[in-house]
Parts: sequence; structure tokens; C-alpha cells
Amino acid sequence: MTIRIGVCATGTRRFLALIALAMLSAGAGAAGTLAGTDIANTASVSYELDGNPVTQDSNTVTISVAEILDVTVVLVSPQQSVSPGDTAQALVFTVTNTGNGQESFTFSVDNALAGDDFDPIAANPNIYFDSDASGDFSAADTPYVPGSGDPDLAPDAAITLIVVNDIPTGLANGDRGTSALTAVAATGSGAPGTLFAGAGAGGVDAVAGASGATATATGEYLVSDVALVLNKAALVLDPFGGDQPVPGATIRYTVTAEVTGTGTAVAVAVEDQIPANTSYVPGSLSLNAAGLSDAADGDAGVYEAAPTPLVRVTLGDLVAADGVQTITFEVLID
Amino acid sequence: MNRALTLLAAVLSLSLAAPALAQEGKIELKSVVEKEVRVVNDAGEEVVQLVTADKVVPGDVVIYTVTYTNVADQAVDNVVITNPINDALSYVVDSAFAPGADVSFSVDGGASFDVLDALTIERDGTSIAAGVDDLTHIRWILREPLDPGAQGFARFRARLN
Repeated sequence: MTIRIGVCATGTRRFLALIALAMLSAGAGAAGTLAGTDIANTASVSYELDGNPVTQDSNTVTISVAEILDVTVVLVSPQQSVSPGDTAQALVFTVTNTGNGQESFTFSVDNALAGDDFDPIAANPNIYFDSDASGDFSAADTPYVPGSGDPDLAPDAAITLIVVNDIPTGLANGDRGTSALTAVAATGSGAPGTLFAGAGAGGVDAVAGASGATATATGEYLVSDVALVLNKAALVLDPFGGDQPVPGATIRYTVTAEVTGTGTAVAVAVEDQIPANTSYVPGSLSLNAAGLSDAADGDAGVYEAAPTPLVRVTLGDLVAADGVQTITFEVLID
Repeated sequence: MNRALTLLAAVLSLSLAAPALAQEGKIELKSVVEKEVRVVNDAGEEVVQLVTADKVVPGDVVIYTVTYTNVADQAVDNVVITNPINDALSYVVDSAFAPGADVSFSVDGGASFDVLDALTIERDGTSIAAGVDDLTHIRWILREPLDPGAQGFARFRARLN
């Protein structure tokens, strides 16, 4: 997230962590030869008999490709920072049909997992399709209805599902709760190699693949009081050795950012507009006493002259242990 | 009556299940496809068995065996056996086997043949070494004439893509 701060603003603000979403793309053709494909083979022989060439064919043997039932479930969301009593907290998953036939999948959520501190409370409904392809939970997303609404996925096709839970009250800071999404092939699941005779796409035999035709991924909530504290100070240096804000004087701004509490502040960026009637001093931007170039390049800092002159420093994911981040830059009073 | 009908039905299904007969000629040529499965035998060892390849899934290895018999009353010369390699199959390197024959491969639909290492294909305007996915045919050339009554076989393995 980007924190915008005004000139000389000082304060503490509670902030919300944003979900950074990565779009996953399935590898093309990874599932292999399609179920139901017939592969016919006819050998031929040529030879000479009394000097005359002869060619003959063998019988034709045909193998039919059975359906292999395989699926992957991948958690897309990072750990979700939540507060006790929060509602509709989303976890995003990608489900991919890694088999070689058109297949329906059914989904279920398990919140009663061992190894965590609390069980998230399933919302009702608690599984949604990412209908608007936004990659997060939004109003346009439609609920998944088990049975009648099982999505039918082509080989290699993927679908994004969103698991929605409420967070119980009365939790302590730092408590973790987990929630797992499981996908199962509608044709059947079982140990790899389990046969479902005639049950595959188009009536071919189906065989459970390496995944056992089912897969699970687990997402995590963390009760977090993470907060970002921003402070800003200004030091004026006039051309006469004093501290008067007169034309020609330089103002050196020092902005500090510090994360407090438990959890991770995700993708923190600090952005500060250059005040009116002042000009940014080129090359004056620094982070933790290390100079940053003004150009948008590999380092964390950038100065943008247009549309609104500003400096921006990208701090990334921060935790309390990272300590105080100090940004400085200078402007010249016009 | 019912029994007779059942028997007749059994005979019919048997004849339907039999493979198509090889074409008439001086060489009897028969093609068989089998599948490798790994099973654990009574001694607890993992062994590879060949079973009928009625169901295959991507990743399975199948074995094509072509058997040939000279059913003529005289020797035949220059015997060449050719087998296509389906697009859905990848030849398993070094799996071609045929006693008394030289093996070669084609990447151009059977128009020309060479040993695997010498084959190239054009990709994006450059000539690169052919891979197992590029092969279209496999061919065996018998080194000696085939005497009356003599038989042999040629075999290769392929993995279903």
C-alpha cells in the first residue's frame, strides 16, 4: 500500500494490509494426450521376391488413451492479517485440472485443522468463484453450490476460488488460524492407479493419477495489531547561515516509518508531495543514509516531476524487527 | 435353446475380439502393442511385466513388437520393416531392438531415414538435432535374406505424451 503524507504531517495511523495477488498461468499441454484418443499402429514390410518389389501391411493395433484424474490446488493469498471479530476474510486459491480429460471437481473447506491457535468460522456460503476475475473477493463473485455447481474444467484449465471465513472474537495477538480448500475429481478419487472403469470423459476408463485425484492447500490468518507509524520533520537552512524560510533557503525533510505490533505490513511505500512554491533538489533522496537515484530504476526511490511533483520510496514488506526506516530529501524555496 | 444362443454369442464375441488378420503375402507380419507395468513379485522384488495395452494414460510406456515370418517356399531379399511413430508417442531412446537388422529413423514422414544422431529438423530457420518427439517413423533393414520358414521380430518402446 502507499501511504500519502502531507507536508509536516505527523501521526500514527492504523493501516490495512493489502493482498498482493499473483496470476497463475497453467503450462500449455502439460496434461498430455487427451483422454479418448485412439492411437492406431500399422507396420509395413517391403521385400524383393525374384527381383520384384512387394509391400505388405500388418494388422492394425489400437490403444485407447484412458482418462488420468489429477488436480492441483495452490494457495495464492499471502498470510492474512486479521483482527478478532473480522468478517468475510478471504483466501484465494487456484485449482487446475492437471488430468487429460474434461472433469468436474467438487470443493470443500476444512477449518478444524490441527496445529493452529483458532478455527476460522466458515461464512455462509463459504466458497465463491472469482466471477469478475479480480483475483480477490468482491461483490460480483458468485457462490459455489456443491453438486449442481461443480465446475467442469478442460485439461490444463484453471479456476480461481475464494474461501471466505469470519474470525472469532476473543483472540490474542499473534494467534494463527488455518483454513484448507480441498478439490476432488467428480469421477472419483483414491490411491494412484485406482481404476474407474468406463467412468471417464466420453465413457473411457479413468485412473487416479499421482495426486490421487484430490488436492488440498491451506491458507492462514494471523491475528495482528500491526501498525505503521510515520513521522516527518523539517529543517530549514537559509543562504545566510540561519534557519529562515526565505527564497533560496533549503528545507531538509526527514520522514521515518516504523512498523509496530505483530505481523507484516505488506508492500509499504511512502509517497510525499513536493510542497507548492518549492523545487525538489535533484539527487537529494536517501533511505537509511544511502543515496537513491531520482530515476525509476532498480533502487527503492524515485522522484516524479509530473503530474504532481513527489518523491516515492518503496519499502516492501516490513515487520517490527526491521526497525525505523529513515527517508530524507531536500527542497529549495522558490 | 438358451444355452445354444449363449454359446453362439460367445463365439461371435471371440471372433470380434480377434485382431484383424494380416494381409496375405509371402511374409506374415503381425503387430502387437503391450504396456510395461511394475509389479512386486512373491519374492518382494519389483519386476517389469508386459500386459495388454488396453488402457494407457500419459506417461505410460508401451512396447510395439512386429513379428515377421517368411511363409513363402523361397528366400526373400532386402526385407525392410517400417513402423510409424504416432504424434502422441515419444520414442524411448535406445529401445529399438531387432536381431540381425539395422535401425534408422525418419523425421519427414518416412521420406528419408538415418541414424538418430544424424537427424536434424528446422526450427525457427535453424537446423537443430532431432529429438524423440520429432521422429515420425522407425525402420529396420534386415542384413541377410530371409529364408523360407525363418522368422524374427523388431521392437521399440514409446512413452505416451
